[in-house]
Amino acid sequence: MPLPLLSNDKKAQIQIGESMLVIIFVLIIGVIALVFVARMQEDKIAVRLDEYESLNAVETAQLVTNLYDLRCAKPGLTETCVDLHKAKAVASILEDPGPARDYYYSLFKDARITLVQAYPPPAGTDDGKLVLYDVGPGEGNRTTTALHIPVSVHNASANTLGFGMLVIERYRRTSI
Amino acid sequence: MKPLHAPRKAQLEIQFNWLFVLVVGAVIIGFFITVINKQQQQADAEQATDLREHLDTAFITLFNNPDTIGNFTISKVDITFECEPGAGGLRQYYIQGAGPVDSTYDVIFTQAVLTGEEVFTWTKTWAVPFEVTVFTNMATDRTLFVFIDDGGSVKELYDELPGRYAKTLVNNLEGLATHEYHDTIIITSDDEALTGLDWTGRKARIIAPGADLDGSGDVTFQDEESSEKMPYLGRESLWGAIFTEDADTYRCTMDKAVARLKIVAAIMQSRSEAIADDLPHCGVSFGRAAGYFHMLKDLEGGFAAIAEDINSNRRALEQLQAITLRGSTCPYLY
Repeated sequence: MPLPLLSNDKKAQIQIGESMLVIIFVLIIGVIALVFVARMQEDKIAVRLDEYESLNAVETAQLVTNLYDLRCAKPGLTETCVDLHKAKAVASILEDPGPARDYYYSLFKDARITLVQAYPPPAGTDDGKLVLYDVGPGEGNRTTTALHIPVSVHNASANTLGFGMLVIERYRRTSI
Repeated sequence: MKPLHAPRKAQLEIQFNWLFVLVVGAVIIGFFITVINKQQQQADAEQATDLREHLDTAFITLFNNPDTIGNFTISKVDITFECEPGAGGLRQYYIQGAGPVDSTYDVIFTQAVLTGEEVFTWTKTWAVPFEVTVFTNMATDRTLFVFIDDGGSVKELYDELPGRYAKTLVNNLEGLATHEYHDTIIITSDDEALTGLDWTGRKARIIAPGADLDGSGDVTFQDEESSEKMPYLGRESLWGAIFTEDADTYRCTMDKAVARLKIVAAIMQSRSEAIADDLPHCGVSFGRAAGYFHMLKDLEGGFAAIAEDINSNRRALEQLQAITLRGSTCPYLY
């Protein structure tokens, strides 16, 4: 015995139902696509941020080694030469807030720059480390990218040329 | 109620279906058009941000490579520079589509708007006499430098300007055609040569005949509406005056250089005092040098007001260095 055919009303309802399902399906696909694109953008931005951080660290290193404020006065010395007296002066000037700190912050942003004297070895209780610049977020709120640049260290008073390292650490806030 | 006839029902159904398809189709097309527009805006913003980062890196590279000539492409994007004199003035540059970048400490001499395909850069170290900072001169391929030959200083400047820049040496301004350039800068030592000039898109810099280019002097900024005299100190600042937009921008940019000068002078003073203490036989020279650095550090006022003081300290330090190094074992003063 053949099944009874659906009434026209029923057919219409089913058709409308089908159309609604199609719309809902298309919308769901659209939302999934949007979420996917947004996640891709997020990853892309994170990668780019990492690239910029690495670039910034290198830029900071270049700036520090080329600053006239630290460069050796005596002609003929290597380009990457730090005048010890100038370095001490910079460290002293930056202890207090002022135009100098604003200027160096515009160059280095959140970073720590340390001059480490390796040779001749530091005398007495001096550990040979001179922090030239240290501005950044609190200890628990940062990550660092560090670069080590070998430099000559000229002591104009003793007329000696030693060996040292400029340690450049860029801070990155872990939370805002 | 009388049921609808089947054909009438079918017609209604078809109409309803079409309406439904139109509405849904419009919504879907609208959705994709919105997404495409957003993507395009994002791409434009990304390009502007990329260019801004690229510029930032380029400026750092320029700063690290003084006395060099370079170039970079800006692909028809306008870059606007602002430098307002005074303590609260804006000091920034910005690119269409990207936010402003602070340039409080960047000593850049350029026209207010850089427009064109390519930007040519020329960096020079400013020393008074110790090295203070790097001056960056920028102009695009749409800037023309016109030098009115005087057989002296102006000719010397023409010869010195790198060939990458659009430049020409003329005897007078008759028949000067500059319509294809966005900016035209005329350099002359004879203000009479500017008589009757059409000032549209043009500006002039007038120096004294036989000017001491490496020393100090005055340069007059002249355009259609105004004429203002400003000092220069060293060839580097004279070039800055030539490249810059106007007297106000030059004043503002040189104030940035003075701010740098004071920082470096403080460092040099501290260095001189330390060496004077360590080496008594060099105490006199380094003590006097510390005094000159101290004076430079404490100068009050803008560049225009203190240029002569800077110049006199500069000469004194040069003489002191020459004396100190003559047959002695003392270190270099700077």
